[in-house]
Amino acid sequence: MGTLYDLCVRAGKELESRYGNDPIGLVRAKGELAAKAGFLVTLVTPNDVDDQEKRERLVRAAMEMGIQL
Amino acid sequence: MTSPEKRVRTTVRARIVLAMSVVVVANLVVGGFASFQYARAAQFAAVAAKAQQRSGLVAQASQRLTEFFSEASELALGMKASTRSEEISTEYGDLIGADRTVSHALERLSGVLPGEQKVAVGAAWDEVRTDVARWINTEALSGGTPMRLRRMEDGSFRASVETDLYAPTGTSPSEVRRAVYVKEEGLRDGLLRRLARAAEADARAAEAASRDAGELAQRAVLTSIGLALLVAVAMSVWLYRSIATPLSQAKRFSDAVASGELDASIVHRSGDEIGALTHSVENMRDAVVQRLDNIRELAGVVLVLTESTAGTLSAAEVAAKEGSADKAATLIAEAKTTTDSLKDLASSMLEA
Repeated sequence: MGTLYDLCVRAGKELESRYGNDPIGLVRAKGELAAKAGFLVTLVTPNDVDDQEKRERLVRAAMEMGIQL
Repeated sequence: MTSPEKRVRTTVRARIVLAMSVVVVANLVVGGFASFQYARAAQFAAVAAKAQQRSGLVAQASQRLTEFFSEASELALGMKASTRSEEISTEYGDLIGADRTVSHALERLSGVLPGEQKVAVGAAWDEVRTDVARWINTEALSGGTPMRLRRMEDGSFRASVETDLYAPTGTSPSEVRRAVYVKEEGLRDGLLRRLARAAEADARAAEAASRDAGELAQRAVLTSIGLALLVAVAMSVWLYRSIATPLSQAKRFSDAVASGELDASIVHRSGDEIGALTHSVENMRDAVVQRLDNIRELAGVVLVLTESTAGTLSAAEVAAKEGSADKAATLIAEAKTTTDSLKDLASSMLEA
């Protein structure tokens, strides 16, 4: 599995732990992460090419939302 | 590539064929054993029948031997009583006839006897009839009868008026008669009785063996039927558990997913085509869940960016009212960028 996929999974889990009881808040947070990163996190699969630029954008977006990946 | 439905059908057929094969093989094995036992029973029955036939022939020969001695005694008695020569001739004829009857009965008996017994019976009979002839000739000499018994080349006797045949050796008729009785008893009550007992024992043993083999064969047939039923029931249960149960589980699982229970699970994990089918249903569920996650995420993006765009456009509206056209244009451009990024994200999902 690629690092980008791992980061996506970790970010998703972190958001789910934060908004476990708030489905709308979870949808909004995931949307915000995707909007900031510039790609849909749930579309990343283990077989995808490990894109350095996407990785950096995801880490940066997560950091803006207070998530340390 | 065959369709899943076709593969499942093939699996079901293969299992039914396997179940039928097990039943057929089990029945062939037990049925073969039963056939073998039936064949043994038939063989023993044939042996028993032969032994009974032998016993009957022994009894017949014994009876004929008794009649032969009876005829010999009558002839000897007639000669002592000075009976008329015509009657004596008749008695000779009766004795010779009885001799032929005994010979014939012993020949038939010899046909079913082993070699050594056949020889023993033949030798004993030859000795006895020779002694009887000597006894009769002794009595004839003693009673003054001119007729003698003569042994022919074919072994039969003939009565003729000859004085040099079976000439007595100085012993009295009563001594010769006693010696003949002893030999006659030896043949009838000794050898023939032993043969009769042996034949009866053989018949009893063969009948018992035939009965045992028959019972064994019957038990084998019953076992075969029971085994077939047992295997059929076991195979039915196995078929039901290996085919109907997983299919039923797969259907329940599909129904649950269809009704929105996306966290439903399925237990069956066999490595065959039925397991592959349930695995496919699980994959379908996972794909649906993945798509839903994509849609939810995109919905979140739409929500966030719509709010952001609405705020940007409101600020642009305020700037325009205040006469700050440059600022309003910058804000509108920013809103456009946001909607472009939304468009890109939506496109990426549609392409995935």
